[in-house]
Amino acid sequence: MTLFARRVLVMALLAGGFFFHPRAGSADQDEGHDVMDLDLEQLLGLELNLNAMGVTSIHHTHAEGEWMLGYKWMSMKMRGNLNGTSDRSTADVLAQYMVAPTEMTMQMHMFGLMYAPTDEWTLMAMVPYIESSMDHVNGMGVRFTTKSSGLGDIKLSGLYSLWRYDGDERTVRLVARAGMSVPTGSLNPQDDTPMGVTTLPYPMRLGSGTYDLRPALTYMVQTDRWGYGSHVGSTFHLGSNRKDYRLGNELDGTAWIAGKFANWLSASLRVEGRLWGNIHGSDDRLNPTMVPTADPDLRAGRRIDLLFGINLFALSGVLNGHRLMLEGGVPVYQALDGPQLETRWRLSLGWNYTFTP
Amino acid sequence: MHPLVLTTIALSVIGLWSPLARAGTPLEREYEVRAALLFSFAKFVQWPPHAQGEGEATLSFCVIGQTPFISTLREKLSGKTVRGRAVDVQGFDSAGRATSCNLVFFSPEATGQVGAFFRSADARGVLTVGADDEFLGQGGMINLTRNRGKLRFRISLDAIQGAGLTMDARFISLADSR
Repeated sequence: MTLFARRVLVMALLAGGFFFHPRAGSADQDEGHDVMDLDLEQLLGLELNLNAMGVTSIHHTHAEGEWMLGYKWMSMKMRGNLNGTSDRSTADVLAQYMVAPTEMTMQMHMFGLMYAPTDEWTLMAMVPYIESSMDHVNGMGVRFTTKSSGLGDIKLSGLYSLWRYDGDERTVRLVARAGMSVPTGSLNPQDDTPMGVTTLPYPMRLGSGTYDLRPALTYMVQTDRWGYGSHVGSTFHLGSNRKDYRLGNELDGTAWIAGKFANWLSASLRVEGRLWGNIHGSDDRLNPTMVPTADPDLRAGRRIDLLFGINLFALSGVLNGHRLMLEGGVPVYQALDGPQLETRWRLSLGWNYTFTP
Repeated sequence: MHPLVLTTIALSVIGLWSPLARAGTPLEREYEVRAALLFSFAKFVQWPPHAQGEGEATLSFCVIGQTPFISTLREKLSGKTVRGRAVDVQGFDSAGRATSCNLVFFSPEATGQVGAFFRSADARGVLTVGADDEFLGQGGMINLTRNRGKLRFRISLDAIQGAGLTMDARFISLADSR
């Protein structure tokens, strides 16, 4: 399937999901009315949509019986190489390796489903589709691009509300995530290179190949005008995959503040830090002296990103329960076990729809 | 995609979204629904003949605690009447100052004042509403709760009848059981 055809399919699925949902396009109970005109029975049926404001990347719990459908497109661009915090030119890399990576684009289409069987528990499944492209140059000056695409690792989580406070001034949530990742992403992407058809190196793989534990803790506060909070999470890769390696464990933390600018618009500022380790073991199909991306000891790093987002939400009317989110950011600090491709920017665009059947 | 196309799409989405979204933040939304519920409750209750302000032209709604809900309630009840009586909204930091009220709403932050309010002479004939799990246990009559993403309510019939108030049977049937 071509890239264009895949994008058309994604859009068609999204449009279908929206327009064929029983409540889609129809007015909710208070459409066209002031809530003061509703009778008691109608008032008790109105949904509050308590998660409408917020930040795109933060998982939240839902009220009992609520469902949420979501889609998010994420893109990340990497260009040039870093060793520690210092730039390494392509010539520097080619002095050590036969091939130097020069640029990489990673795009992910993430489909999500959340359901809350109780007010305390929210279950979540996320299915990623990944498209990666990496540009290279070899010592002869020949430039070439490799691509990989396909299903990534499916993530399953349970979010548990450890503590909550519902006041008139603010609502506060402390949420724990017990999550795991299932190794559904391929470890065997291949593409043409000047050396023939080759198994692509670690950054082009679609999954970890291992079952991974993904615990996290999130603290969220929401007032009438502001939302703020922090989140810390980690990924522990268990055992070794079928190719005898295990990705380095990861630790991530973020803090954010979001403010309301209109009754349908909020903006957010977020700082995110990530720390990840080198690969344990190695895939013997790869030659680590050929290209730095094939070296399991050149994968670790740490990075701090600054991200700005906007969030369109609706709590009543024909768009009730729908939310659009745009967030983009750049690294303000990164130190990599290199030479390793340097992240330049990231962008995400998401939609979700919360409803109670 | 060309930046001009992207910009056009973004502006179109924002332009279409703003008039269709129509509502405030989640808390504002909850305040609006809560205000409408208090108004609706007042229509279902029969105050005893000796109740505060009986025979007066206004029906007094009082809110205890510093909460942004007061301004929402004032806005939403402006010009509203219940059985011909104009609704008047007042806010108080302390329940001790809430005299001459027909309906008293305790913000979650003011639930600690419920006990003291019921010990005062002014509590007789007053419909009390709260939004805290402890509210009914402290003698309150109607407690608003979030249930499955909606505002629902629970009642204490003993407290309602003990205060000399009469509630419509349909109102009682719509309350959540404990």
